[in-house]
Amino acid sequence: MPRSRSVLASFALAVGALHGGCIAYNDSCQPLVDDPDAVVGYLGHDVLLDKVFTRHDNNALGQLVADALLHAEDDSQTPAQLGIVNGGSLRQEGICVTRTSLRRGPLTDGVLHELILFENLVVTVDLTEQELVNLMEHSVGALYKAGDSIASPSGAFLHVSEGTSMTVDCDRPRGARVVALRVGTRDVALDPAVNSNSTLRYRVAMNAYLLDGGDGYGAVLGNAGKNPDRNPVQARMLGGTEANITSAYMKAKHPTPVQALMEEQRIVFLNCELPARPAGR
Amino acid sequence: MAVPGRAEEPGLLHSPPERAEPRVALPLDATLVEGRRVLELYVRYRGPGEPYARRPMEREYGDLYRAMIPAEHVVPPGFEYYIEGLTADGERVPLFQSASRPARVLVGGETPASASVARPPPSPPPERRPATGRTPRAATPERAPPPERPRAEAQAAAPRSDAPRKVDDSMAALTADLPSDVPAEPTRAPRAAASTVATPAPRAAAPARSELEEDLALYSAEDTLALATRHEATVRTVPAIGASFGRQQLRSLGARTVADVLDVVPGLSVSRDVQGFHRTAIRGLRNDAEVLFLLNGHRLNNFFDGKALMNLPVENLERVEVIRGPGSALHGAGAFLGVVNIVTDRTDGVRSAVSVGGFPGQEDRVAVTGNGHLSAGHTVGDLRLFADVDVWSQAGDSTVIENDGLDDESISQGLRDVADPAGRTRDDRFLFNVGAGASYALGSAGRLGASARYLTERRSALLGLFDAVGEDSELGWDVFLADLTWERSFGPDVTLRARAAYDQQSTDRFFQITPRNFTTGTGSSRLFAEGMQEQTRVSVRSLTGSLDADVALSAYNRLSLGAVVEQQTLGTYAYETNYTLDAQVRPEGLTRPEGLVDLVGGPASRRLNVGLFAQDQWTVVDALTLTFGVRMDATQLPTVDASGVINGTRFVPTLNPRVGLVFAATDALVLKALYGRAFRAPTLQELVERIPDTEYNQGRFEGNPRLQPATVDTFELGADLVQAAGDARVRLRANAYVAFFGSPIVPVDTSGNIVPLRNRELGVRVYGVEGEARLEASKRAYAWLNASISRAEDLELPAQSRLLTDTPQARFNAGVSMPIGAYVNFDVVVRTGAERRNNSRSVLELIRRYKIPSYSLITAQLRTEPILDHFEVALVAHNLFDNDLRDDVPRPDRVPGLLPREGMSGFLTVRAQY
Repeated sequence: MPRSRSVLASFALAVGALHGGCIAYNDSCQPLVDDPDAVVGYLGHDVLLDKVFTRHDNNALGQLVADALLHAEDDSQTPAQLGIVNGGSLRQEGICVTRTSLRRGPLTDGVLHELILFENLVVTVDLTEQELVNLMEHSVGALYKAGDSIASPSGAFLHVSEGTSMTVDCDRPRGARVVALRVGTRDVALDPAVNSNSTLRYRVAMNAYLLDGGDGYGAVLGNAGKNPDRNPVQARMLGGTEANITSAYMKAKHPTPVQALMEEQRIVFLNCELPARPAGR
Repeated sequence: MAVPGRAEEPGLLHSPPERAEPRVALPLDATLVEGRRVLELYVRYRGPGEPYARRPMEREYGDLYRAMIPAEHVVPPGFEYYIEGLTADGERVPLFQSASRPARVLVGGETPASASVARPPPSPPPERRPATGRTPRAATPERAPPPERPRAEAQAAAPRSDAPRKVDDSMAALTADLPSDVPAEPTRAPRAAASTVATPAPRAAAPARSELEEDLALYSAEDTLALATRHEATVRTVPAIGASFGRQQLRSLGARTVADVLDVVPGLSVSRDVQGFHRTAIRGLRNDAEVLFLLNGHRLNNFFDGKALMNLPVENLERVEVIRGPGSALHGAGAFLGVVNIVTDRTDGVRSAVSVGGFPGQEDRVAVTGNGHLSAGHTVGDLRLFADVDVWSQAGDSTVIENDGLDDESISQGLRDVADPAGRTRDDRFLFNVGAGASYALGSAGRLGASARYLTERRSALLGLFDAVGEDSELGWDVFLADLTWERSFGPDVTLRARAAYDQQSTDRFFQITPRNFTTGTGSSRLFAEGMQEQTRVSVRSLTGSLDADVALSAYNRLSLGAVVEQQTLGTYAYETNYTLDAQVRPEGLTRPEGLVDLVGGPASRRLNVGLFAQDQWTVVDALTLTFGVRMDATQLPTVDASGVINGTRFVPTLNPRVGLVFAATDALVLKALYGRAFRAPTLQELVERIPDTEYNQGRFEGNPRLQPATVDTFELGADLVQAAGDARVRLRANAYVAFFGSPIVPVDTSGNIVPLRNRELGVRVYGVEGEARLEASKRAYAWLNASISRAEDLELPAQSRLLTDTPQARFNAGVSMPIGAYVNFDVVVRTGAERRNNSRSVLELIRRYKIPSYSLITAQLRTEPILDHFEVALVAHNLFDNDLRDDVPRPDRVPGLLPREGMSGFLTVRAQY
């Protein structure tokens, strides 16, 4: 019997070694950047990260990314006029911790990269005036009307960069919700009868995911990302990814508490349900 | 010496003689113990190729009995016998050995052909059996075929001789199954029958193996494999790491489908995806298009997406062959991670099976599954006919899916309560598989064969298309295969084979991607009463012609040459949705969406592949065989302009060499060193399918016309040791391998709902070890186990993220078969897999964490020995302890409970054969 027992013990040991000692897994909490604790800038107030705040309202983080994309090609001959980022690109599920908000104060590079998780490349491309309007209509098409519960906010909702403003009326039908759109100093023609004949082009910076048709933008953007006539240019700085470009932009624009990032009312919502913010916000 | 196991049971004290003088009557003495119930004793004996004869044992005095084996039956090479008793109530009690496991007595001084032989002779290389009279070496005694290898020997002789020869299933398996023209033996030993399946030409009396040889071959479970060399040979000696499961092994595993079999092969793991497809991972990597599935040598993988309708019932199968590692040097594109060949049973006779059982289903009802199988073969003169049919109707297991990707919408729309689950899995399946064929010996003009097969499957999706439960989903798949073969020998040294093959596959996959009464906004134009739906219908066809030859360059050198031309074509492609791109109802129902790229007729929709191969097997010295092979392929692939638009095609050449060294270090030990390169071209789906993206049809691969073929270089070392201890025999196998994948085609989710495909430039590396052990105490009592460990690394990633862990890195399988009395066997199979976790190839994969605990699944079976020589009954329970096994899903963040697999099930199977 002792012999049997020792045989069984050896067998169990071998099986245990097989299933335990010889198997390895990735470190799932490994930071995404070399120096995750490096402060890249400052937030002027708490930033809420639940989907309703990143996909159904203005959001400082979304605006930061849109601004970073806008300026990604500033040094080129064809800088962008508008930067956009979809709310679905802003994530609250971190590497090993889920965040509901960012506290006012310093923001580290590690956290920023976890918030902008997708390794999307940034591309700048010319869009027609009609495409731009359709882009924005698609962005706000899934917004919930005032009084409705924001059950599942669409990740297609776009945050826009500085210098751009938009007014949305959720009482209006899909496809006609944008009631005002201004890019820089130019008011965009919203009437399809007008903008369909417009020869104006807007140079827009966005991530390759949208340009490839993600979040339903394929019907709007078509093959603009592959059309040489639209001069698609992929950002090259810092590997060309949204997160790296945003990190660098924040270091440049919001390096101190005085220059902290603040949310702006770039999109005005009329008759739309908006998420309830905690008291004091 | 046999002694009684328990005092109350009758037993026999008997010392079997090892040798006997020829033509001299041999006395057999035995003492009966506890033999009150036994009225008479009989010895049953037989000479080579003879049926058993019975002779009573006479009582000498006391309990001592004696029988004389008549002198005329004591002839070389030997005879077999066993002893049984007859009780008062007419029961036959086995007392010493049995009909299936008789004692063997050598006559005339040859090597004892006994299971208790301590060191079986080495497996002689095929080339070592030159044609009769062709070379003096054939007559050299030490080169005579040892009885332990009769099958391999006989087959090895086949291609180089017009002389009578045994069969080689290999070309049947690989080039469309020329069936045997040798009538099946009247007494149908399974292996003997199997070996006659594809006997090619001559009808002169084959040197039929004796029953003794047959039984020994069966007892030693010497698996044969045709995949590795294009000629059937023992797994032990082929220049590849392979496995073969014959009929008996399929039975003892309790396997019902091919997937059940594959899951016990070391290094393989079978999982399912949300759509219900079975996916075969080999050595840590899983890709549908990279495992080549053959049905009787005819490729099953679909030209469009690489999937194969492979999960066939095993009842009508003769064997399942598996090669782990590359096989492109013989099989061309797609033989990348491994090759699986499913071989149907075409032996003479009629075999049938009926199985009923099911899963304990919902609300205390059993989800009933019934299936019936029939296969038959018949030889009339020069004509041989064979056919088989499977009918499978399954109401599969159904398990709760708590959450899916539409939880928020469904609850907010009032389609279900918060406490309600998202739905249930559905695993209904109907399968009909019918095949038939014939072959005809044309005399000196060779042998002509033809076969055809039709498979049709209708089933539900296990979960749905992607991340939402779609219980109304229906997936249809029709496959038609046809083969025409011709084979002729030119003299003793050259055999020529030609094959024409055609196949057509049609898939019709209808998915419900939201619940019924789902709304995407306000208004009736956004209310989907039947749920949002989409349907993809694809048909593909291929036409293949091949010509190959076996040439015996010398007694120890065999050259195979061949050429293959294959034209694959996309026939139809239709993708339709009942929703518009902005998620409104299409009044006209399922309609082709705007912006869909038409795939039919484009440059990528046709693919011509031309392949040339040569392989030489050279036995340098008795113990050493070298294999050199190379296959050159030119594959037609699309070319693209600067913007990525397809503008034509070009032929992409690939060169796939193979080198194998098989060294019989001792009689018991065989060592292998192997190298091989394989390639696989991107599938049509990977190249060009682009589904318009919407909010609701997420998770699609985004075709990439720039994809190039991927390659893999694999180095393998193997050792095979056979030892005997008393009556038991032990086989140990061990393999180590390392594989370097160049530019593998990998979908990596970087965005969340579109999964881009690309060649990963820095490649993937896999290495690991596999071990097998098998202990055979008798034909009915044996145990086996295998274990495998693999480590796969994506070299494009930093060190902390490069491990690929979505398939088990370690597998351990074991089984025991043991007799319970004379007529019942008990089989237990345990399958275990190590914990699985998400890969970390992208940040998305990193944050969408899942962990599937290690698992153990137990199959238990009670199985009878043949009843009245014709019937068998088996009662099997799968997943006996209802282990909650789950598989991964593409969006574990949306389906956090992952994909539940089949729970406990039980089936009763009755088999009959004539």
